[in-house]
Amino acid sequence: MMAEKQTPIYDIARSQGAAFVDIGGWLVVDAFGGEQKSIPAMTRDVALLDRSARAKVLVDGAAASAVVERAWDVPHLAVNGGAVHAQGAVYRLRHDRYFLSAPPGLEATLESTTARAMRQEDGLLTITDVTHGQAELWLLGPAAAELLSRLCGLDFHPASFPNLTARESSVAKTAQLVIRCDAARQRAYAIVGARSLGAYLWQTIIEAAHDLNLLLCGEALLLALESSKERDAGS
Amino acid sequence: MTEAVSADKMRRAAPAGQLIDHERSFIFTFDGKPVTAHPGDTIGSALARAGVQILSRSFKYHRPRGLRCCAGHCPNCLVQVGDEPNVRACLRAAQQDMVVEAQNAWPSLRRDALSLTALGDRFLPVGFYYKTFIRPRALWPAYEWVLRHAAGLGRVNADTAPATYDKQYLHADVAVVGGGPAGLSAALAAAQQGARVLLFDENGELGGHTRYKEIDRTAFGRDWGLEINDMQSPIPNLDIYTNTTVLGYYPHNYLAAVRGNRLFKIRAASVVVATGAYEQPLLFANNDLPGIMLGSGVQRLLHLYGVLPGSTAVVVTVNDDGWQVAHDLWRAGATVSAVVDLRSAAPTSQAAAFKEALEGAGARVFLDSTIVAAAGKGAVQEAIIAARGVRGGPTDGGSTRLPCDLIAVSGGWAAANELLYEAGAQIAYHESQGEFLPHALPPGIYAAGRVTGSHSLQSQIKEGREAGSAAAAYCATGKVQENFAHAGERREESAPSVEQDAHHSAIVTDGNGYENVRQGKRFVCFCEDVTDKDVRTAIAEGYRSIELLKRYSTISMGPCQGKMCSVNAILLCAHANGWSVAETGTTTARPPAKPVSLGVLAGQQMEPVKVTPVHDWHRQHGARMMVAGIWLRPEHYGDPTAEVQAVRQRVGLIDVSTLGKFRLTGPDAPQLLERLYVNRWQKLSPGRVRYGLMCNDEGVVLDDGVTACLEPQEYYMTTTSSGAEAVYEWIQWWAQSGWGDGVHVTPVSDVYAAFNLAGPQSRAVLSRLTPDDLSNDHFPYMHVRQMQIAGVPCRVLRIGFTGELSYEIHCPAGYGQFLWEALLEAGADHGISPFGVEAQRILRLEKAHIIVGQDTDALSDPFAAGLAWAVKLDKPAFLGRRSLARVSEQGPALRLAGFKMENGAPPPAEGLQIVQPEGDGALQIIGHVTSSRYSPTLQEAIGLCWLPAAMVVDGQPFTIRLDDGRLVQARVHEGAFYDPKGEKLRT
Repeated sequence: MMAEKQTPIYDIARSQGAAFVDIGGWLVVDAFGGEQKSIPAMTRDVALLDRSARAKVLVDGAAASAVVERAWDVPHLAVNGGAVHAQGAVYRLRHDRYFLSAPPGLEATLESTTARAMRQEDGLLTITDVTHGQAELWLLGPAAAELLSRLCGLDFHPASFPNLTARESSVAKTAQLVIRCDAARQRAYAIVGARSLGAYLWQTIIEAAHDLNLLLCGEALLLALESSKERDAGS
Repeated sequence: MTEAVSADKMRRAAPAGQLIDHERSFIFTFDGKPVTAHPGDTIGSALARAGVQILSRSFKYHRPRGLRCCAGHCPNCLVQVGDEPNVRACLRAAQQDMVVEAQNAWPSLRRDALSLTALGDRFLPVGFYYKTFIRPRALWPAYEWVLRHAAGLGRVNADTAPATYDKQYLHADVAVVGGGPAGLSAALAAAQQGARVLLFDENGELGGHTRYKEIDRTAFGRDWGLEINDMQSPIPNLDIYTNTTVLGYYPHNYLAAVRGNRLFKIRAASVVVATGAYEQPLLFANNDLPGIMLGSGVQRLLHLYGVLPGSTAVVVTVNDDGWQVAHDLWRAGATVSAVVDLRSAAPTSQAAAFKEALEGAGARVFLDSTIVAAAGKGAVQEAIIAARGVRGGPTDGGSTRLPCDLIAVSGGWAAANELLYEAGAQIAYHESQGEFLPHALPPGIYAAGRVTGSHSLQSQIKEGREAGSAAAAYCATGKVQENFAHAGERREESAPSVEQDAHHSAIVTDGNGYENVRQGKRFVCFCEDVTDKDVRTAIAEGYRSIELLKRYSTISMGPCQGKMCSVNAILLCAHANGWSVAETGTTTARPPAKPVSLGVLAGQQMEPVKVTPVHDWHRQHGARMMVAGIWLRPEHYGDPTAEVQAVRQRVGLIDVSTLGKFRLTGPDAPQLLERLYVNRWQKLSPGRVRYGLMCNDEGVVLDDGVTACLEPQEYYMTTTSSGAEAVYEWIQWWAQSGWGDGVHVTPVSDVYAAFNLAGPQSRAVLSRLTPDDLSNDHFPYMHVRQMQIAGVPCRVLRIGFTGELSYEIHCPAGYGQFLWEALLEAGADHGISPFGVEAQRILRLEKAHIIVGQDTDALSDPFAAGLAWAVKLDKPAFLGRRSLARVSEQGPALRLAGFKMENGAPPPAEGLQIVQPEGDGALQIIGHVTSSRYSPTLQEAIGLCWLPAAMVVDGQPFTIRLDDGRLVQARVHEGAFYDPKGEKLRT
């Protein structure tokens, strides 16, 4: 029997009719049964995705900034700022803490690439793979900010919370990292927090969206949306 | 079949009513009778159109009450809608098949038996319940039952399914409260300057009083309608929230607002308060009769809903507004029999045209006159008016009785300044305006429109634009503009204009007739049925301060929250005391400004709960889940005794993913451990595991757990499940205080699932899933190994809480359920059983292992808790050392000890007292039971308890007092009950 990795939403998503696909050794929601399988539905209101399988690595240390910039060739970031690179994205959470994010299965790459950039003079630096320990739920679509504002006191106006911003805050009374990570030309927010709270947060978001036509969405629909936007851009 | 209340009983108003779709209609019921309504109707407007005049009964005297303000300001139209009590009929939209009922009336609204209360009113003076119901104390439940039934406000059905409530956070540069002319202008001006603006208005449409009043639409150089139209098309940086009531202002421009079942929490850099003003009632006998309405209420019914609330009207006014009300009524088809103006001067030029038209239509005009009383049975039938005397009261020269079915009262305006009060504005009484107006505002707070005393559209728009611009500038600079003067400040400097004088609030301090007339009650507070007589009585009893008067009489403490009564109460208080209004002062405004349901304040239910990666498996396999802190854990799977036996005899598996887990890295990690724990760490080599006991700086046991040394500069620490967050904060506190320079502490509790495979056959089971050598020689007790188990990378600690050979397996959480199932499958033919928290408690108790927090408390030190072996006082420095050194010298007064019950007695409940007879036979409490269970292994009841240290001798008998007072015997047992030498662990 092959070892399978399950996200914290696996059981609840299965009960909600999800079909799964293997990505990077993880069982990831491909599609929800009975979902409105249309891209317009996804771009009209708000979609909820379980993206907990994404690779997540913390880099701690006084020299974290220098190491991350060297490793990933990203510009110097202000605290709460972020940047994308070829493998994923980096976010500066504090003066001495970075959060690295990438598609599922790339956690080892994130770790090793960062470690290789370390120099003797950088001092103590700790790289921790927290992929398994954190749920990552995405809200995507025009109503994503409104839905999030029902659970979190941060100001999500684009001027205050532009794309690639990451802030730690309370979401539905739990400690979470909120990241603006627009995708497929849609506004999107990743909510990253303790894995053990993932199922609670998933259900709480669904309840908070009682009047927002929330679409439970899998990777297939997101991929289709991204493809359609790329086609639109090409044409 | 019940006949529908006919809409033809009352003449339909000529103006169609801008909110009403007359083409369509539907039916709802009021007290069981069908009522016809149109889309756009409120319950109140539909009832008014249907000729229903009595909507409610008053709180104390159960007097009939009808529509008064039509703006949600007064308490007169509170009704029950389905299971929802205290709904304001004048605001709630009527809906098809809605079931509306009167509340606080029995047996019916028209004939309420409790209205007989009024006959005994002389025995119910103000404060009578304070004086009456305090003795005898034992009768209070009976009093309360009677009062609750006699003075209730609707009923709550506990069986009603809860509605959906939620909250939303909003942010803005400028928050504008009030969507009337001033608020709209402020919002537009601020938005045009680039500020992010939120505009809130409690009505369904913007425009404020311009919605229901004829106005000079070009008052400010541009058609006012264009300003309204501007708001119809989206403005990128302006969000409009209609039907949204701002409930309160909190420090740092934090506003709370409610729309439907949603609470908004708003943070703004600056706030413009343009909340308008409340029209005020006048004091005269029977001023609460149905058919007596505020002038603005009449205009709302006419213009918004197309309802003419009466056919023959008397209008009483203190300003030009009343003349417009009279004119509107006449144009709508009513007969205006008289206009009574309390002012001696003729109306201003604007109102003069109304006067001329009304006189031409046969209306009688009474200047310098007042209304003395209203008369009628169940509803108004007559207005009694008289010329005002020298002091403002009626002359003795007789009165005039005017038949009517509607009295419209324009009694002046009271600024809706609650938010300004809460924001810390200085508000003073302006004699010239007769209003309480702001004259100094805190930085970032602006006011405009009627709330500052501006009663002309022109000045409202101008003030709004200025306030909006200033607020936007404040956001940009963080400073108040130089030379900017708030509207109130400017008004203070200038003499009242003719326009202002015409609108000034003439709630005259020398009374308008109440002193000399004895024709009925004159209500100051309609919510609580407080009359002017009550106010004067209270003052005579010594409650002269307006704050004391409020508390004693309950004026302004009802549903209207002072909107209809505060000003009159203050004026009466001033008059009765012989004080000026300024000397009298005001009461304190506190949120919420308007009633709000508890459901809205509670919002969406959010109770965070943590689950392990195996949670779903537990539930599917019959686990009874228990709450452990924030976690849900399996208590047992049906038979905890069988689970204990499985572990002792075969093998068991428990989910311990809830343990706190931390990664410590860096060269100074051992030093940090040395300081955090009372035992030694420097020589812990890679591959070894050690138990650690953590104390606070007072030497009190804080937490315990094991820490593994993975590499020279990498440690893996576990803590108790419930202590994980506190321990992390504790570590961070000391790390940030200078002990953490060379060490990083990373919480990884959720990164790893953890299972304890325990029992004599655990090695055999585990060996089926890993090629690693698990023999005692290669993997001894208190060691850690990294190995693949069922293909999953795991960290395995050979430790155990159960006293059996056991392996604590930590794996990446995503593999949790896979590995759990793999272990159970591998152990199937060994008779493996999952076991829960209850079995674990029994197993650890058999080993006399403590649970921190259950067997210890906020005073327990390691010496007392039997953990002296862990304390290394020869270490140079660690938390709690100084305290523990002192305890070590003195010895503990109490000690934690094991015990067995005598004579086959069952285990005593945890928490029971341990007692000892005194010389006089009385029982002295000398200790208590902390843990107790029946041991399936030992076949007897065992436990842990606190006893005087001198009594902790093996075999020492002692007495436990049960809940029912019986005394049972137990004996001290030193050491573990099961496998005291720990041989099984090390097998």
